[in-house]
Amino acid sequence: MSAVIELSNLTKTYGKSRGVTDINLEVPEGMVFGFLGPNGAGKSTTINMLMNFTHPTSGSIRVFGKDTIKHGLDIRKDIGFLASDMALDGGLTGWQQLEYFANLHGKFDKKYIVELCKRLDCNLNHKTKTLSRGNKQKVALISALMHKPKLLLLDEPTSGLDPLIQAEFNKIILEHKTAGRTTFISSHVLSEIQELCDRVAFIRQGKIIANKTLDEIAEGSPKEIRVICTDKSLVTRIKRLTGIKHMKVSGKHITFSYAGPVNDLTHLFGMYNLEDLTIQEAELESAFMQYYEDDNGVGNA
Amino acid sequence: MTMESVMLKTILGKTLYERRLSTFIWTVVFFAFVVLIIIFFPTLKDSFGQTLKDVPESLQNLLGNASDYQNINGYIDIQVIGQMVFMTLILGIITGTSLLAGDENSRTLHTLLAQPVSRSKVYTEKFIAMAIILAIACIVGTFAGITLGALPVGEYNNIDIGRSLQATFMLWLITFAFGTLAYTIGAITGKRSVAGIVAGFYAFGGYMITTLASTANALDKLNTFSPFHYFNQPSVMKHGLDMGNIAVLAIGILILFAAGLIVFRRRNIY
Repeated sequence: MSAVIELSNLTKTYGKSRGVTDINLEVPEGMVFGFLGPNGAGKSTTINMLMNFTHPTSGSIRVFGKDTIKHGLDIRKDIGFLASDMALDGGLTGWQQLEYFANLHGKFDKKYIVELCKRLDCNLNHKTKTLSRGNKQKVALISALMHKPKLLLLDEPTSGLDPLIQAEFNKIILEHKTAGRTTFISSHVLSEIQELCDRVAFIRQGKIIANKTLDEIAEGSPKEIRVICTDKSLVTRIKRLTGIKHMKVSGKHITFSYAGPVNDLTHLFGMYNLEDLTIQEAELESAFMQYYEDDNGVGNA
Repeated sequence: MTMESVMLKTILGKTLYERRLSTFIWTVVFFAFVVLIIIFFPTLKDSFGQTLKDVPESLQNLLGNASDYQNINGYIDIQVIGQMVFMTLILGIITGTSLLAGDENSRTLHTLLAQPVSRSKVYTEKFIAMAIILAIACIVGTFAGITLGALPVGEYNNIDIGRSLQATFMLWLITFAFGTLAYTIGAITGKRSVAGIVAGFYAFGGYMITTLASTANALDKLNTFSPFHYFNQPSVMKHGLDMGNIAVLAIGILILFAAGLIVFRRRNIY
């Protein structure tokens, strides 16, 4: 699989302020790639450089194997872009806005626009300045999808969308993937990333701190454990294990997250008469919290 | 294919389509103002003309001299072309700041630049749209006001139609020059407020310098940097178009256009 996006030693500074620092990233063709991070981590800075709105201080960006600064125009022909809270021309109706963008693309597939419109329950007959945030986001989403781009570049795509439309959006993205096309989603909505993405890069304070598949994330992340046991000594024994966090004891109910060796845990539980045991696989949220706790001063990653 | 569909094919067409109502309103406002000014010609012809005979020369440069008020063409020169320029400059600066910097501030420019269009194309087509919008309001609005306003006061046959058209052309040219200045500063800085303030101060300062330079020789050199020095001096209604003045303003516009384009193509759009 060839790389659709290649970021090499990418750095962006704003005067003395940090944007992103020495980012290296490859997004293979046909993948749904998640780009996760809290506000101010550098997600939008990266997206803005991918779209050639801003230029890197150093390093390079290649999309479809082409330099984004030299070949920005060619590259954008095959990109569908959606920003969170995307600004539309308030004096145009949804239809007019889409027709205008379609004309600039040189492709106006009215049938496909109508299909997307039905799926996303979008009314295109009103001026965009009169639309709610969610409906504006639907028009913007259709504008990103309507020319069937090879690469979808989505920044907080589902902000403002209701759950039903979010579910339809997820279907559309998976169809896009099935057609062999690539999606790059920047978000801090973990459920969206978990449902859609094959691989996730975590960005913190302008640096990529992890780049893993969802399986790899689950493997290395703490499991949520819930035990029911009347023997109080179990609590003391659990506390001695390595990789224990967020332990809560309420009567005979003990819950904690565990990132240590599984054998140590099963060996310990084997010595007790447990009433119940639940081991829940790590959610992306656990991984996210693990990576970003330092930022909030909660604990160590 | 509807007119609307045709206009939405290009950035130029879409910009004009989106601004059709405001352009129409400005044109009607200019037309109405000019008609109003012309309607007062018979009244001002006698009373104002007599009063100005006693006014000092320096003030006459600002208000016009008495003989100019005795015929409709002199009146048009001073009261229409000389006064309307303040209003057209407001439109020029507003249009210049809003088309690019305004779109950048509202982030619709980002949405446009996400499409497969080059920055040069965006910059150039919006610039042409500004030229057209200002031409409609300045030339059509003012010229229609002059000719139709002269009908009820019985001065239509006395109007020099050709010179009136030339004078409104100069009105457009200086408005376009200040619009271009605002547009260029907006393209370079991305800030609508900065573009408006700089162009506004330059217009005010330039006007003051040109007005005072006629009596204060010390301002002669400074006056060469004022666009007003090349506007209606000598009077277009009396002497026709001055190709030297047109060339200076046109070259200034082209230099500003090129400077803005060079920076806009390369700079970061935040």
